[in-house]
Amino acid sequence: MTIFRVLHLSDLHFAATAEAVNFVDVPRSQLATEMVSRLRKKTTEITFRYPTTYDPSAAEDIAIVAFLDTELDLILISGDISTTGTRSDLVVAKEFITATPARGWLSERNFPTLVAANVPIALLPGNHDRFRRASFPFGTGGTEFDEQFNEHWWVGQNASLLGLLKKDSDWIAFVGADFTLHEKTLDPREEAGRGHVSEHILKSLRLLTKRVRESVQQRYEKSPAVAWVVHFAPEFEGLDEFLVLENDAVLIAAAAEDSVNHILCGHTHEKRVYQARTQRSVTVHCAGAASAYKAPQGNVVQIVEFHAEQGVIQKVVTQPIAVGAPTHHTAT
Amino acid sequence: MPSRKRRITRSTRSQLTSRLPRSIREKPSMDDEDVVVEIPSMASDYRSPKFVPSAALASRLQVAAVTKTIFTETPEQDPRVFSDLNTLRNIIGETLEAVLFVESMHALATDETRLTVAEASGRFADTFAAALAHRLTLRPYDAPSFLDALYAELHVALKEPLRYSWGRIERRAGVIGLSIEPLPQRLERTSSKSTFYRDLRMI
Repeated sequence: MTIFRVLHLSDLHFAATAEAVNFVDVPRSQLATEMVSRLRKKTTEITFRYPTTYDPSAAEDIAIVAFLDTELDLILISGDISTTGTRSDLVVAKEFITATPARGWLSERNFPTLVAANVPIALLPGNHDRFRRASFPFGTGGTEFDEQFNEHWWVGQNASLLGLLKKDSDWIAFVGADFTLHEKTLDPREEAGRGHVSEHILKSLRLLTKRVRESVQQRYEKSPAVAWVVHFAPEFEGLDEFLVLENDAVLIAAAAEDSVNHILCGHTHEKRVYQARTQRSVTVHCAGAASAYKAPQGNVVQIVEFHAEQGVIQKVVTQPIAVGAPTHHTAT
Repeated sequence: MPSRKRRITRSTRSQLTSRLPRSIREKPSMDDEDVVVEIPSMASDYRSPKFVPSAALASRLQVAAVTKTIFTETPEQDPRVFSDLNTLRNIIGETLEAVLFVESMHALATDETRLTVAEASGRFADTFAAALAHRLTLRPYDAPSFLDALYAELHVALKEPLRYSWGRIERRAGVIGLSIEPLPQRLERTSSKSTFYRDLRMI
């Protein structure tokens, strides 16, 4: 039995402006207080057209957690790394993920960086990363993410091998799929939060899974354990209809059929581990928001330990770690 | 660090007294056998040139300052005498981390490597020290998470990450202290290292 230790993050929401909040993310009862507080601090980052952005204290805590954990095998980020898919937001996200550390977990610019952890980083985009504009209507299907993160994600809106780990004699593969909406499928009322399991991307995901298994088997006569990574949480009970992953039962059915028993995701800003409704053999590990400003349940990252043996994940142990300052009101 | 002793007016005293638990208000015992706990005074301003706390940290400092006020501006007497160890323990239990952290930060910001958490004497002194020790984990990085984030923030502000760790709790002649110790540059990995591939052609 080999334990693969993964730091799983989701929904970081980096942006050109930190701590900006959209008024729709503040409960009406707290709106006046929030605005007065910001006027007193002479900050005006309460907006009506722009999405809520990120909490820098949480971002730094994440870098510290990664830096201090010497047992990590991988840092896995399941989407919404930026607030929008515009260049100005993505470059901030990119600095967090790729900047060279100068002191401890800080870059030369004193910005936290995951590179300080000296652990491989795997990631895929979420719906925010595909927003074409910084303000409403956002538009989906943006491609700037692929430009900025081409060393980590180079397949566009498709499926890709995020990472393959070998430790002792065991292997584990993380295969990811981007189910964000394509530009053609836009409905202005639904575009911001939904995903869709399209037939061709699911096909790619399954083919890739098969190929990974065959490649390792042929070369090392070992079968790798496999987990899938997506941004949207499939079959997440109680989710707002504008945030759902359409066609999610098909994804779950495919996972069960391909003996992929674990799916990692994010999107909901709520940490939850649950069995899929339509296939109880599939467990979904949904991370909470990692560094969203005013996250409703606070920001959290999770250490996920995969106990793998002979190509099967025997057990998964998750340990949440709260990061950043506690918050008390709602954000989407 | 010198103790702060302030004159307390009648109105201030009344306000402070009303914030205290009933058991304390009603037990101003001066028995020499009771435990005497004196918390060192808090520096009036932590905004030293080396360390400017963030807004999040400042709000926590404020909490700690209130705590400190309760400890130091005791209406009954100064230094404070507690005859009820449980009450003392409860107060400490709720606020110890905040007080400790403020003191630690000040010590770090002023390049001290040792700080006095409290001075205790009397028959409960050992029990008090033991309770204090129990609330703090001594291994580096295992301090309560409440402390870790702030502690890290301090190091970021000082631009000297990980130079110190929470050290040992010291008990000498009724003095309960917390030492701050240098850390190794990096903890060593204890498990075997994995190999990472992003491309199947590389395996």
